[in-house]
Amino acid sequence: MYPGILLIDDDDDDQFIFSTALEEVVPASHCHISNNALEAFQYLNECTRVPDMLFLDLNMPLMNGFEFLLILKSEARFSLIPVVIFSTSDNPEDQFRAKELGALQFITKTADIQLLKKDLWHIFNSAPVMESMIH
Amino acid sequence: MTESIDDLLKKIESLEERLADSEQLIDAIRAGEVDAFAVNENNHPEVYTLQSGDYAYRVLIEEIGEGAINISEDGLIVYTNSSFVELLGIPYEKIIGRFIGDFIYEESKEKFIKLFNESLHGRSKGEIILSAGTNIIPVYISLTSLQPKLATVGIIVTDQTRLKLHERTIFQYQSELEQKNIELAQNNSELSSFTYIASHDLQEPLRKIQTFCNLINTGSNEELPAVTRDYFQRILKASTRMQNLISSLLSYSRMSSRGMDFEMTDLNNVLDDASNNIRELLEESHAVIEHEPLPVISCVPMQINQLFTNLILNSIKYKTGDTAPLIRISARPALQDEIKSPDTARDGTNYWKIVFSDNGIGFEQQYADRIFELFQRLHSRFEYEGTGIGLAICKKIVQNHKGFIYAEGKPGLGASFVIYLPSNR
Repeated sequence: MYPGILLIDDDDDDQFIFSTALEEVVPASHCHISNNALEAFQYLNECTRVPDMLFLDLNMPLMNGFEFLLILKSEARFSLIPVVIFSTSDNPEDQFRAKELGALQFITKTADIQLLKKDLWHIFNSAPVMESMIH
Repeated sequence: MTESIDDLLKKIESLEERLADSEQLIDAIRAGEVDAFAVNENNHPEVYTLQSGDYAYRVLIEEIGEGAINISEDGLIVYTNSSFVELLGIPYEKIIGRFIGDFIYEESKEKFIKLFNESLHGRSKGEIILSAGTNIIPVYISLTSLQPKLATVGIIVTDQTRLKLHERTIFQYQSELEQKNIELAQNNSELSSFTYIASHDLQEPLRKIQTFCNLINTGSNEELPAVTRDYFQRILKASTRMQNLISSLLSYSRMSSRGMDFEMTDLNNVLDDASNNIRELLEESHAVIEHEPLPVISCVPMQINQLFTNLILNSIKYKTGDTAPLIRISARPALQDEIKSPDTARDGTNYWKIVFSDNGIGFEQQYADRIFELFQRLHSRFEYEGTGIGLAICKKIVQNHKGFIYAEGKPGLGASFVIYLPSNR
């Protein structure tokens, strides 16, 4: 069973960068991209199989990442999906808030794709759910 | 014998009468009931006014530059001096015998009545406004009941026209100043958020440039000519530099003076804290910091920490070759007239003079002002790294504390940074 990943990010460059890195780290994964929180909810409600992991940007128009996360965690069907915040913010307050809202991890977007790949590798190797899928 | 005894007796009688009259007159004069008398001598009537001790007082009231009037209990002006006439600016005849209320501005009438009634039991003072013709005259009046000697109230009237004009001007300046302050605060706030947002938003495309340059350079190296790779390398370097500049600008903009929390702080602790934060760098460079006891002052600890840190880092960066940086910090109360600054030191404020001096490469004194400017550097990027913001931040922090900072340098001999911080607040 391939790992199903959902990326929620409004920036097309970041979408490209993320997919590229993900492909190299977990070649078998299948990544769906939603441009904003609304599209993401639509996808989650319609999909046949709920994603195994969610990567979430914070700075999005209309509904930001924190607002989305709050709602996500309140829905029984989706509350157990591990969420990784993928954001430009390096503010420790944001990181703290993310943890408070139940996010698994926080990745800061940098200019270094190798660093992103390393972060992804660590995440996929420590999440029990993913482990069983990769190995 | 030309005159008979009867004639003599009649003469004596008339002399006695005249004597009695004179004595009566003298008594009256003595008692102050008379200040003038008429004499009919040989059918020549003469009026003599008495120049007694009262004369001096009369002259005083007549000539003095303040208005002096006497009001009967019904409010009629029974006496006015010429200063009061001048004050009202209408003829004497139109004042004497008139009702005082005729010359009081409508809005002041109630207050005058109150003061007048109060004075009947003693004295009262206050500000009212007079009006005469088209003149509106703000005055200060002092009322005294002259009972029981006279059934009047004496009033001294002081013209406050000029005073009120000054007050109005000051008030105007005050509100203009307040208005300017509000505008300034608004501008600062806008600038702050603008700078923050701009820096933030500017960093985004920058990050993309760097990411893709990195992707290119770590990708298929064999396919890309060396020249092309070099170009991308330069793009990368330039964008990194831009990122540093934006970060610096962001730091600088954060040094706002709004919402600062001042606390009484022991600067010795701040210095220890600052040194601790850069402990590794101090060890690496074998830097030594010697300091005199520093005072306790009211300040924003975090900002002073930044100030000290930046100065120490500056001294380490510009050290002389391999010589270990030696940083000496002294502190003493400043003498009133020693503050050399284009800005005027506030009157009555005492300052502490804190000096950071080092044994680094120093600088030419002609650049002493330039080094505090944002992004101004005295060396090329090849020689020394950095964006040229450290000292600009120092200056901003000192300004936030209403202090002064200036630098003294001698090439090859080191630099001194002199800081004046208010010691009472």
